[in-house]
Amino acid sequence: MDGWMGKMLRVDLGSGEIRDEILDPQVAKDYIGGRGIGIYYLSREVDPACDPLSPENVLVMAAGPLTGTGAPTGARYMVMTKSPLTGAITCSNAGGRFPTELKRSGYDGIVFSGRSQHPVYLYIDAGQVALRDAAHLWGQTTHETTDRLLAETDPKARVACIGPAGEQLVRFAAIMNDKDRAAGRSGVGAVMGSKNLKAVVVRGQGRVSLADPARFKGFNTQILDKFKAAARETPLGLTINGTAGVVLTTQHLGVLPTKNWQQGTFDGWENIHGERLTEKYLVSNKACYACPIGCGRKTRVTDPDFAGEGEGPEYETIYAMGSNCMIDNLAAVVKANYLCNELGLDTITMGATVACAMELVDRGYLSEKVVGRPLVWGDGEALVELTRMTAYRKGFGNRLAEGSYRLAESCGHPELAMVSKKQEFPGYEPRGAQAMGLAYATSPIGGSHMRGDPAYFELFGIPQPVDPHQWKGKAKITKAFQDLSAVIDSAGLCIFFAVRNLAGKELDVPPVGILEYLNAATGLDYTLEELMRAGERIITAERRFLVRAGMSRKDDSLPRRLTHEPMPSGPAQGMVCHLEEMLDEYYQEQEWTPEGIPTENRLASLGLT
Amino acid sequence: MVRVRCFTGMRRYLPDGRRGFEIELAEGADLRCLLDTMEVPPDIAPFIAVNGRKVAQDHRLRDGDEVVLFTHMEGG
Repeated sequence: MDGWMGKMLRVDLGSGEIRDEILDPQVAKDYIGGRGIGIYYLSREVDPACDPLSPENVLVMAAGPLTGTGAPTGARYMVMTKSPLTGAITCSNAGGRFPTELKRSGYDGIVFSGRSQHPVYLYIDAGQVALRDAAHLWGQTTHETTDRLLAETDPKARVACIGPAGEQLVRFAAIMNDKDRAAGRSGVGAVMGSKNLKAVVVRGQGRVSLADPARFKGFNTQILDKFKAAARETPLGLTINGTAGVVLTTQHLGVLPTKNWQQGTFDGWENIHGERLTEKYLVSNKACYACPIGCGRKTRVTDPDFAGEGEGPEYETIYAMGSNCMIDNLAAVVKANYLCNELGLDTITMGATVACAMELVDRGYLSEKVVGRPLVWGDGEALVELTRMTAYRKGFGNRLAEGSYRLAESCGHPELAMVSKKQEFPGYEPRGAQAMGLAYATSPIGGSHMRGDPAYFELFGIPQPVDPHQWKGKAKITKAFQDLSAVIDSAGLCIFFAVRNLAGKELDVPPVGILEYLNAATGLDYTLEELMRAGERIITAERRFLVRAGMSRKDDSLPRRLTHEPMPSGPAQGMVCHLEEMLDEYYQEQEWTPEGIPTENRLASLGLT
Repeated sequence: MVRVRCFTGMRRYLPDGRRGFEIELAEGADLRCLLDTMEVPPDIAPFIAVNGRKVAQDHRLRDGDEVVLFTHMEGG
């Protein structure tokens, strides 16, 4: 096969058995790769009702057919498993260099099953695959683990691993690769920890073959020339200030979640936005493999209270740990971000859970005696200390390690957790960006922007602007964006490049550029319709898994704050999110029943029966 | 008098080292007049906020308005 390596690695951690498995070409075509391959395996091998932290759960790491080909941002892999945070699926994805190395080692992905009796790591090198003892790494941070593994294997290898948070089964533990890239969301690191799998180390010597190198190169040159010309005309915000630049947009549209989503604007925004990060802490940009954007931030903080060096923060981290906690001390946010990277935590859920705790204390539903320290809005020191305590489940950190929903519920006020399917939201307020509310509620992983991000339409005007306050017609663009995201995630690309450069400008955002890359790389003749159907197939297969896990319309929900309490101030003042109206339209678009169940006809038309 | 602040790609329309300026505009002037005064080409369509709210280029300015201009951001 071209594009794909044609091979999956099966690792049974219970028996220690390791074997290769041919990637069925028809499955590859129908599910593309990455996220699609992940749901294909989960659907066949995981009981949707299983305990996510039991040996019955399966964890899939899969790259896409464009990963490692040199296609711009073709650097990504996907981690799919049943989530200990949501009970639904995960699709956590990351870039960096590890995913390309995985392809070059000869595999499209790895399927882990069972549970090892003792800590191990997987080592793949030039066709040799082995499980090795990891007792000496248990308890180490992600950075320490990576350094030690590179020293004892091959300095050119690439490492994905968990930190103490994954070992402690923190429900939102991340898997970190190349030290600071995160498959961050939904607790994929806890599943790895439950399997006693500390790390995956890959050394790849091979190449990803292309079916038609001349066609691929010609199209690549055309796309990159266009991208560079546009960037010369208007310098790309993502390159200059990273994703942190988005604070400017969300603040001025009144959708910057603030004070645990009690407000949509933050008075201290100028202290935490991207330009401030660039001026005060940026050391250099950092790009993933084959990325012409370079939105990654290498940063250094010298303020004595928060000194450190590492990568980040992203916009989502700045919202979750900054405005959402009313913290305008950027150094504290950056420091907490470093800790999340090193200890292996998702920054969004970490920050949002601290914000929820702050509100619980503020309203008298949680005492500072239980927290073990003062906890008031704006306290950067508390954020940093609680982050560390969470990773090790120390003291009150043990409660935070369960995420905001379980924390708020245990205090008798689950409505104060800003979640969908128990997963915390990214930083776009649905009251001022209606489609985002629908996207959060219907995302297969719970509160997320990456599994369908109509903020591009509503907030960024890409591929064309739509009114963020209008709810009518939003079901169509939300579904379209979800389908597009499924294709991007499965092909192994990054949304930051693909939406602007590889999709059409129409409201159904057809993946025209991805189509050309895929056909040149794989030699298959996908039609545009077939590729868009593949996106629908992946979304529907994921939904089927959720339905089998007992989920339906009742779980496609938002907190009452967003649907019933008008935004108190700012540009979105007076707005609520019209979720129920949008849901009716959305299910019709999907050909699901009014209860959110895919119809038999729909399943059959996508080959899912 | 209108106070104008520029961020990101709009900085290039300011003298070096400055982040903003104050300007007296004619009665009834809109944002397009301001952008023309700053020599912003017509095909550049920045994000414009007046007093914290997004507005279009035909929005008329009033004495005391605070204008924020920046090129569009994306990502998350």
